[in-house]
Amino acid sequence: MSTLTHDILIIGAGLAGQRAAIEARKQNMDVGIISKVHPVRSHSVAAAGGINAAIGEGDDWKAHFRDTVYGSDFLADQDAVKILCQDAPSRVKEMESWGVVFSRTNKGEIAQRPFGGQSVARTCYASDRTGHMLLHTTYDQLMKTRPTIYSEHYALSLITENNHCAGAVVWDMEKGKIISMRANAVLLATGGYGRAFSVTTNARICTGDGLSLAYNAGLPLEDMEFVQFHPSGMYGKGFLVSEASRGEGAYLLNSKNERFMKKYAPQKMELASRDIIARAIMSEIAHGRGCGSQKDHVYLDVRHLGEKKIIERIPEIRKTVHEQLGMDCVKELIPIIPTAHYSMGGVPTNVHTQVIVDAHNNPFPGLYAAGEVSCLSVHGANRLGGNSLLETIVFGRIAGQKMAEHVRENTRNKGSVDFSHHEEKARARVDELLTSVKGTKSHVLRTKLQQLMMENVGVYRSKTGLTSAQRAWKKLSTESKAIHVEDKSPTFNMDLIHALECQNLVTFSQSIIASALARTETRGSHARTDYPARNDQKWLKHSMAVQHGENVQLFYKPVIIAGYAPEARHY
Amino acid sequence: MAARQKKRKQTRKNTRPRSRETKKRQRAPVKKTRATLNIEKSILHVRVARYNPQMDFHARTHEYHVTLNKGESVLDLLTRIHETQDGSLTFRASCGYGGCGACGVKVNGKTVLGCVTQVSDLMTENQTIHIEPLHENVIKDLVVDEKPFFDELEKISPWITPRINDVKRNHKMGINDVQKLGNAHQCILCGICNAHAESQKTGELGPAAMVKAYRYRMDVRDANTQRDAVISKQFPVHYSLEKANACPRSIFPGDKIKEMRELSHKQKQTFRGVKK
Repeated sequence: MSTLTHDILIIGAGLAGQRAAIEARKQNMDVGIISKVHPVRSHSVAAAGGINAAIGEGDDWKAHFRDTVYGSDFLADQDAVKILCQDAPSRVKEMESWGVVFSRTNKGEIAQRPFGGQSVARTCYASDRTGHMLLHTTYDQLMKTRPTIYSEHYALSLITENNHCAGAVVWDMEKGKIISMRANAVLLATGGYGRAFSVTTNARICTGDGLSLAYNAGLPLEDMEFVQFHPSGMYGKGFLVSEASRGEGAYLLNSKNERFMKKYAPQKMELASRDIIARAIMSEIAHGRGCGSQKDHVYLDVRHLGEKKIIERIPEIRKTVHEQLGMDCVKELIPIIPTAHYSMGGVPTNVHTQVIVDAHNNPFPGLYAAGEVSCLSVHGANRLGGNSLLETIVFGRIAGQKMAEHVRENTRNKGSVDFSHHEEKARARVDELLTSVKGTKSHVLRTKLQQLMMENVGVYRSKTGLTSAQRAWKKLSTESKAIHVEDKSPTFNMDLIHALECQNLVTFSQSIIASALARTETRGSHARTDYPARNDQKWLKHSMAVQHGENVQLFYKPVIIAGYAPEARHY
Repeated sequence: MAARQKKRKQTRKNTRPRSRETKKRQRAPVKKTRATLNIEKSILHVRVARYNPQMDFHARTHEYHVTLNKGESVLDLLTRIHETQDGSLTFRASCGYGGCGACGVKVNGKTVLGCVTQVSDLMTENQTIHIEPLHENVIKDLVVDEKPFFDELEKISPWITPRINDVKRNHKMGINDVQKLGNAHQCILCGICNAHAESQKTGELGPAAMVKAYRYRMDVRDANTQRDAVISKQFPVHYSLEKANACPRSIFPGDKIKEMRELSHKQKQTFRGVKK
């Protein structure tokens, strides 16, 4: 088996991974980037609405800070939120000077639109293709630094020895062989895990692989119960109908043609935070005011915006709705339903993006995380739209800087870590799948898990649902150890990759169910029908889930409050 | 794994070239037997190009029979075949809504993104659909080698070179200047335009690289004159600009290339006019 060595290994080449790579390359680091798809296929490309920054006249990062902490239902770590909001204007201006084609005001300034949970219009946007614009511009800048990119390579496991991270064992998808990659610092930037649910905006590749890499290495996962269900997913398909539509003035209607958000968020209406709206929609449906023959969705109405505004501000929404549902949103109502969209939880890090191992924030040397896979936590119990793209750039850059510092301060003891044990284990895992003659097919197992999660760990949760989910999970876990892979060829074996992804999905789903069952309150996107109120006295803390044999062990970490004491949350 | 790779089995050689086979299929009328008359009209003959480097000397075609579901895209169909009939069928896919560019394929001769293309729009009257990879440089089945496509972009320095007085600009850009870019910056690098261009054979810059060059050439914030020199030397003449316009994002590389050529021509004339 071959071994490659770099100063820094970056797993995942979306916005966070690419931005970290640029920063590390600027500091003359030898960087190896691995990605299971070509970097420009990363899911960052799908982000639509915009990126928040307090660059407008009269706007202040402190207001952005307050909105973000309020939006997080006070679970966000405020030291991290401060950095996010303070750095935002510089990062957005930097992206602009890199050539991002932002939409502009008549005066030529970067245009900003209103967005959910924001006190002023501070979401900078490029029509409704902001993610695509940012990703491709970042990729262009990355090319300039001449990085080493291992495209279509899949990380099988982290190499952790003597309590530090020394690299990863990787599968070359094209050639079908295992490579060990040694590095002084490793960054997890693998994105979210929407594919653990049957209705999701996420691409097929969003299978939380980085989470399983950390979880299997004995590291904790933080706040896994906080999954954002985006209110406006396309009914029947799950694809995103961006919040940009509501930012431009769209209405949400029930079967009685009412703007029902008046009952749930009288001030902000359709621009309340996403958790409030998702619950409002599910509530309307539960009370028989759903639309359509099955009364199982609501409508998004953009007709009153007019064709000109729709073409200018939300052209991608119009195009996708037409392609997927065969309708023209200029004249017709868009059927929508809440859909699994973003993972607030993930691999816990401090503000330097170092992965931490316990409630005292002790870092795990050599391992970093940035972007959706990480949990700083800047989003707490609920993320505001426009803050995710921002997080990737702010903390991707910090990760690059911190990893370069780490490399300079820690000369690698070459050959001190024995990789053969990790290689053998990874080889065994792959061989078991490639030589399988019976078992469950990965798509069958995946569908079972997705349905289980959607029904029991969705917008509304309860003790009954979560307990039965735990029981059902045990059966799925047994099945995941015997997946039947039909394709036996080593070359570009998608069947094998799907099986590995499915195993990963099952692995960390355990932590989502356990954390959700333990948290007996409703906060942000975690809504318990049996505990409908927020309970700061008992639950103003982060959940940390660690693998413990076949079970999960939970411990808790305090929330960092720095300037904004928790208060009641209404929109 | 080494043992598996060593044995290259003699497969049933498909001695007839694909094109002849296709022509024969198209010429022959569908036999109306008792069985076919009783089958529902929605049974589809899906002929997919297959290639496994460990087993095959060259590409072959495998035919699957499926009943078409309403509203199914080409990608939905391939996924269903992969999951329920043949787990070895391999293809790329990610976002599913036409935004990432991963799933480019050729369907009944037309190059499209599989996820946004309805099977019912492209299948022939005798319920047949022929799915092939985007071009001939195949790794496996419908997965093509994308490396040459991405590497080529670097020839035109696909990044911004800021103008020196950028600081004074204060991050402003007029709406007119944004409109000058047209939609060139919306390219998703799917490779469909290049698949037609066969520029790799001629050595010319492919349409995607030209669109990327246009995207920066027309950006008022960019000042890379070296890029202009590179593209004006290599204005493509050998591939069909019409065919390159198969872009799923309606970018029309052919038009962009013509515009840049005209601009370059004008600039040379101006220069000659100024020179004393």
